[in-house]
Amino acid sequence: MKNLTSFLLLTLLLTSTAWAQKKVAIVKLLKGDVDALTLGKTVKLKVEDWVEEGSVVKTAEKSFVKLVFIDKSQMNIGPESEMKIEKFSDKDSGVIDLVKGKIRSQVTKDYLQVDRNKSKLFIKTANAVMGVRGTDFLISTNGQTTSTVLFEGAISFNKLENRGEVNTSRLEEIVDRGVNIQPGEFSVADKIHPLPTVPAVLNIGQREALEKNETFDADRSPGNSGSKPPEKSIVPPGLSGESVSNNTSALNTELARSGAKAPDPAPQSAEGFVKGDSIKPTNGAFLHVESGVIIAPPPGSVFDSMTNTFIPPGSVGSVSTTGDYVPPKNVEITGEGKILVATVDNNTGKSVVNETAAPPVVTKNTPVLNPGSGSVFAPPAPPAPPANFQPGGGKPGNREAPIPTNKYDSGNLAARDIQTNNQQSELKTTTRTTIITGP
Amino acid sequence: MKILAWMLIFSISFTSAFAQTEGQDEVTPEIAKAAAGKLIFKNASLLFVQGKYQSTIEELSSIKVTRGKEEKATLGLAAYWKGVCYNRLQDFPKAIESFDRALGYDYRPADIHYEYGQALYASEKYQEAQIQFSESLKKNFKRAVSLYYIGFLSRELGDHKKAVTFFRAIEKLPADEAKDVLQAAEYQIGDIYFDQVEKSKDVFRAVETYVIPQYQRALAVNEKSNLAQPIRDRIIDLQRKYDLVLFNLRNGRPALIPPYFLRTSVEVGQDTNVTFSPTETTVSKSKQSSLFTKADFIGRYTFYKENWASLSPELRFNSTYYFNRIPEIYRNDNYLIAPALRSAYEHSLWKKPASVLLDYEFSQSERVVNADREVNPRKKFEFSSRSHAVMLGERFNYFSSGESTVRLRYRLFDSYNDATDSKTISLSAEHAVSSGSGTFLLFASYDRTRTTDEIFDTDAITARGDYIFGRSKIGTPSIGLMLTSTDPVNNRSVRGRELLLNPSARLSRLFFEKWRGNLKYDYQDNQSKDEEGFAYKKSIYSVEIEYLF
Repeated sequence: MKNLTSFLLLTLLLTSTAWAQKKVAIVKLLKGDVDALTLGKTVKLKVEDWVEEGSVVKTAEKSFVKLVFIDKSQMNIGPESEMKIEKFSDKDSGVIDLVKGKIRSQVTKDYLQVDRNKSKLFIKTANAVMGVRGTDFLISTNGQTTSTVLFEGAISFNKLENRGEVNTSRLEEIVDRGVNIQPGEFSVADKIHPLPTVPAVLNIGQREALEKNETFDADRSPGNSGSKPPEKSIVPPGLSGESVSNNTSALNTELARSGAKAPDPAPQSAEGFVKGDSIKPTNGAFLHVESGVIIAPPPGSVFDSMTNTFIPPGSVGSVSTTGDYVPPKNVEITGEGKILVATVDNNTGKSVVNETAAPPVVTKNTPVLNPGSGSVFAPPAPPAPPANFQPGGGKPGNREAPIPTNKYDSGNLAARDIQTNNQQSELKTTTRTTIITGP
Repeated sequence: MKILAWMLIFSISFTSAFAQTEGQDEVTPEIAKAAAGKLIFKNASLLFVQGKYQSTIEELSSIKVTRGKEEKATLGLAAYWKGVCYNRLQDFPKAIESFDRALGYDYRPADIHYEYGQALYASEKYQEAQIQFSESLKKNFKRAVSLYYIGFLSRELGDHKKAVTFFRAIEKLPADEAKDVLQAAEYQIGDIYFDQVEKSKDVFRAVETYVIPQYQRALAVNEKSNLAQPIRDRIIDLQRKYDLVLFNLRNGRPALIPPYFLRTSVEVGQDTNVTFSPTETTVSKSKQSSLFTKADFIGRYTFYKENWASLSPELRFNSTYYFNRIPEIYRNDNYLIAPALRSAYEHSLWKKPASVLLDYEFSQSERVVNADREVNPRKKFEFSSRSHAVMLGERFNYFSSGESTVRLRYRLFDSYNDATDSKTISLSAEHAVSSGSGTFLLFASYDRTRTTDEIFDTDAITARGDYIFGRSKIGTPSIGLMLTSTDPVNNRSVRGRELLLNPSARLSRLFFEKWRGNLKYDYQDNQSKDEEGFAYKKSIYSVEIEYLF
């Protein structure tokens, strides 16, 4: 009887402990310093440690951790990130709160096949929520802006008003109203715009490099062979990216022979658009993952019919081998999304740094007659006081410049419509006094 | 034992697989390599169609190097394919290396020279690029673009004559082949012409005779293309630079470009109380509503006398038709023809642009004037009125908020009813105030009208204000309010001092660049002591479509 009582007590104790602190993920790979905060207690994680539901996982600079969840889903948490496992089980949808940083996740296919139309995992940030119906994606937030890239499967993505929401039915409703992202596409949600951007195809080089970089290796050097990315566009002045594009006829023969079918012509145009609150960046844009800044292919970019994207020339930046967007040498983009452009003051000969507005995310791929005449990172007109600028992380000066507020500024699109007001009006008396608008 | 059994199964299946694939009893190293090569190409194809160009390169790089004719083709394809991938990844040095290697294997698909040329072009190896595009041309691959590249490269290398020859060659290609390139080629020729004449002594004449016509030729290829506007801008820049067209008058006021203004419009609306006002000093109301339609045309052309004066002949025509066919209403059916000659003398006042205005205006209208006189009216247009007016004015910039105009006007009015023939002297002032979000237009006038029958004499004061809002998503809204106080000098005892309240609202929106749609609302409340004869209220709703040439 005594043994039976002891057994029952032990069972009760274990059950209640398990209920309070459910182990949901195990550390499979770790680099640097990674902490888990559970019930007010912080522990340094190491490989094969379990992480419990309700825990907050924090990674330090240059650190990374790979968690494998009880449903076999993998989640890689990038450097300087913080995420909370709010809810997780192998039967119901889980809820993860990404406070800051990056997560690369590969959700198991078996797990997903329970119901293809329902999200199996929700990842929330300060301003967005993602319903995971796919398998391989990247999500990043700086606390203001959330960007996501999908590599495989499907995800739904929307803005989130109430971060405290944990009810999965309500989260499902929210993501159902959002945008559906297809493999190779990205979307960005910020605090200004009511909707996340309409998914657009990411720059092909960046997508591939990001997909391969599962462990968040940091590398800011350009990925191509030259010491300096080529700045000249393959498109000569005067022609459009489409007109010089080659559909690789010889390779198409080879593709047919090997059984690989070239993709059907894309149903959606590669061009970006603004329709009411919906903004679609131009296909082939670079994404500064940390800040969500989008660098669209400028006019004069060559068109790649295979991927339905425009390939921007090196003058607007390139991609590192790890998938990071590398801006031109005189430009720096901060994690908060500030774009700092260094120029040389003609009077003093010294380098000056100015903050500039983000370039338009919707670009028309029209022919350019004078390719050198404009830059997507044009600094503001008045010269700023001299400051020391070290590209790639130095301390920029002239920070008092206004912070760009409209990342999705559609540039010339707005100007095109302004006609009536600019027309000179004149008052004329006819038989009765009327206003006649004329030149 | 278990391991041994697995090894046996594995070796049997491996051997039989090759035997089935190749149909041979013996698996030679060449066959194994060929099979491996096929598999690599298949994998590469799958990666390539997904746009995974770096992975495609890595897959293709795993092909082992061997000798033999077939192997040369395999390696040539792999090198060419890698070159294409490097081009897509903007890694032009490696693309050049790969294309070089492919050509070394004598692998020459139709587009290799074109792709190779592009990589060389982006790497600024212009002479080598030219050679590759020439090869591409020989293979008839993208002939128009290849010719363009050669022309452009020739220009970059300073060989203008050769450049023009290649650009001109595009004109001879079938239209379908040249369509995306021809306009840019014509533009390039214009640029080359300009480069050649820019430093010559006779540059003004040469620009006018050769360069601008060439740009105009480029523009004529497609006036609605994306290139059309930059070409137009270029033409204007040159005209401005070489004083080929007058852009600014001597006081700095911009000349009109284009010098003409043409607009035609059609309006359909509803008038809730059609009023008849043939003499402008009398009015009678129908107390009935009617749909109406108006058509209007106005054209004006401004000729400049050097940079100090302008003369603008103008012609206006409009007609109105009422759908309610009772005599009290259809007597308003009319048409009006109104030519005018306007002139301006440009000078400066307070160191800002100013103009002396002198206008002559004529108008003649015809109506169904007999509608209310005859039992069976003929519904025939007959002379209704005619007027001659001379206006002297001054347009100046005294206020920083915008331009102002004062006018003195003398008008002779000849009515079909001799009793209402009149002479009017008007003094008016206008002022435009531009703010960041919109424009205020203010107008005030005093009109003194004396008629043949003195009973119709009036003195009127009018004040009007309009505000045109900034452009919004739905269009450009504007609102206005006009107040007119009329003193029937010799008939005060019957009419009293009359007051016309006339608020209005309008929403304009441009469509397809030259079409403008207007939604208009106008309310009039004329308050008079003679309620039966002169007081009336009415609303006019209408939709107007304008075309601006």
